[in-house]
Amino acid sequence: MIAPTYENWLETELFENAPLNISVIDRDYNIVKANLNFVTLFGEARGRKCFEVHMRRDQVCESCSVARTFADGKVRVNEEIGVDVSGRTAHYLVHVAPIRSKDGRIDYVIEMSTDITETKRLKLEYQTLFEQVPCYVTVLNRDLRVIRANRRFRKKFGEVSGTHCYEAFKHQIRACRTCPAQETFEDGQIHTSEQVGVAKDGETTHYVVTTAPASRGDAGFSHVIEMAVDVTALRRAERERIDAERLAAVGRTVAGLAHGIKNILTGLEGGMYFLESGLQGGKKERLDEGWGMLTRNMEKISVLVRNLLSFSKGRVPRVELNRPEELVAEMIALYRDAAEAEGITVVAEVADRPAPAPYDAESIHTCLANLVSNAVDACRMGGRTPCRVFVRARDENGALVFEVEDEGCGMDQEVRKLAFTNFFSTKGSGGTGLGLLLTRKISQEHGGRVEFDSTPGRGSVFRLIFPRDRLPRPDQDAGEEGA
Amino acid sequence: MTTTGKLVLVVDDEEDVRRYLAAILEDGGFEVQTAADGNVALEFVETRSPDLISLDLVMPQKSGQRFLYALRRNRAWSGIPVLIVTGHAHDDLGRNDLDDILAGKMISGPKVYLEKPVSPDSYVRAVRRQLGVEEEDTGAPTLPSAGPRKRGQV
Repeated sequence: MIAPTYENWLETELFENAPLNISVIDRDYNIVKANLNFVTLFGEARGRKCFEVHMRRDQVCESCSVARTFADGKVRVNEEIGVDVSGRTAHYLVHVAPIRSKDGRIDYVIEMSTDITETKRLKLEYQTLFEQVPCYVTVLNRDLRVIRANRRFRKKFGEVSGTHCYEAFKHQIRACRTCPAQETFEDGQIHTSEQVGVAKDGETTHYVVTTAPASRGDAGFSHVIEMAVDVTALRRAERERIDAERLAAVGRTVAGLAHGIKNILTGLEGGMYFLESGLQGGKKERLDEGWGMLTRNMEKISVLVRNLLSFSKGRVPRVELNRPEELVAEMIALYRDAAEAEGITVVAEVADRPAPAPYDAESIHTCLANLVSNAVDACRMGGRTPCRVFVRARDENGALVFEVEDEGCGMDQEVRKLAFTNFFSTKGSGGTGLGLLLTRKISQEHGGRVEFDSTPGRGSVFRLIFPRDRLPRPDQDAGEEGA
Repeated sequence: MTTTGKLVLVVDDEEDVRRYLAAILEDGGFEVQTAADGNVALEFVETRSPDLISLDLVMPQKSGQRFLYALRRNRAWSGIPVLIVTGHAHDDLGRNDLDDILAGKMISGPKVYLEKPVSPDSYVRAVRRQLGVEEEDTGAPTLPSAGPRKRGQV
């Protein structure tokens, strides 16, 4: 009979070579049989007590699943710790099942164990990562409900399990207009956006959230994982820096005001001196000269006051999404004809149309008009014909850049040093020295800066650089963007 | 009015200020030449050595401080007295330059400066004192103004 022999052989093979540690234990905890894996791991076991072999103990374990299976005949699955022949402690998933005789008695149990140490380690690592990672981590289902949140999140936003994410993050009753989690559910891609939320203590919290599809084993994905990095401190520091820059600009202006007036006062004193000495000595040319001086300096003070008003006016900037190329076109329309008459060409160069950007169009118009006006003056003073002025707008390294370049007289080191100082002008009585200062003030109010290069005799290039992440938010934005 | 026989070079980038200061000095019996910046002033000094230079600090092209350096480096000119007349004594534009000059970081730098606006009286008096010319009633009209200032005074 071949079949029983084959079956016996198969049973033996399965028992010996199954990728599990298998042992058979009698009611006195003696191991009566063990497979190859078991012996390799725990050493020769037959005739020894299971607690002695597994646990290196000299008496039965407190909660012994073998004893309980003998008592109730039930199959048990437990996690247990064992010590192998080399002394290594490991975690095992242990199945204990009764072996019944034909009359139903349980004389033996079979114990099968698998080393799950690595799995346990990975699980612990994952758990630690999830809980301790320095950002807010949540798992959302398709209803946008939070089904898991890490410790950091719970500490900041409270115990929110089961609530909608928009309620948890923002105390809102409706989903946000643009929701990166919803976008990920729709296209399966990773989405990132910056949001403003409300912590459980009411504190406004800025965070950059990234959403990614989370697969739980089945095909496709049923959840989205959100990781949010808190940038509140960063935003606060940035705001403080912008405020400090603005205050410093105001401070310099106030200090400079006195000196601008001093120059004009000196001119007025000069006028009066000429008038009085002319009157005393009956010199008509002195009267004429004095009158001219008074008139010129009165005009200067009028221009100064006008510019100061525009410099200091408390108008609330009207921040809207604008098209930068339209501003360039406005400059061309404003200056082309007048400049052309003097042999100066004003050229627009907008190669790749920059994305629309939020700014106060009137203020940035003032800045650009100042730069173009200066460039035209520089051409005039340079005396080169034809002379060109280029007006450009482009996106560069995450910033919106306006650029005005001229082929005019350029500036030497001294003038460059003084370019942004109050009331410094190279235009004689025609300039108040406020143009570039005003340009810088407006740029700073938009989170930007002014840079320039210049070579005497060759020309200058001025750039208004507005990092897009520092531009103000459009006025109509009520801060209800998605979480 | 008697002439002093002294030549004063007035250096200032503001035309009205140049003409005003020149008129005061001319009325006070001085011969006056003017220059709009440090470069023009140096060109003049090369041709003729003035008895005193009335110098503005903040000017385009060549500032008063750079002019003063150039002047002091030349042995023939290093003894020419300089009276600083500035509108920027206390701001970022002129304060550092002025402090350096007054602290004697420049060889035989001037110790007195006038702050704009200057009155005819105080200006001509300061020039006379620097040159050791006797006081005299010039008959020029007087206007209210701050007097000459020494270091530390505001």
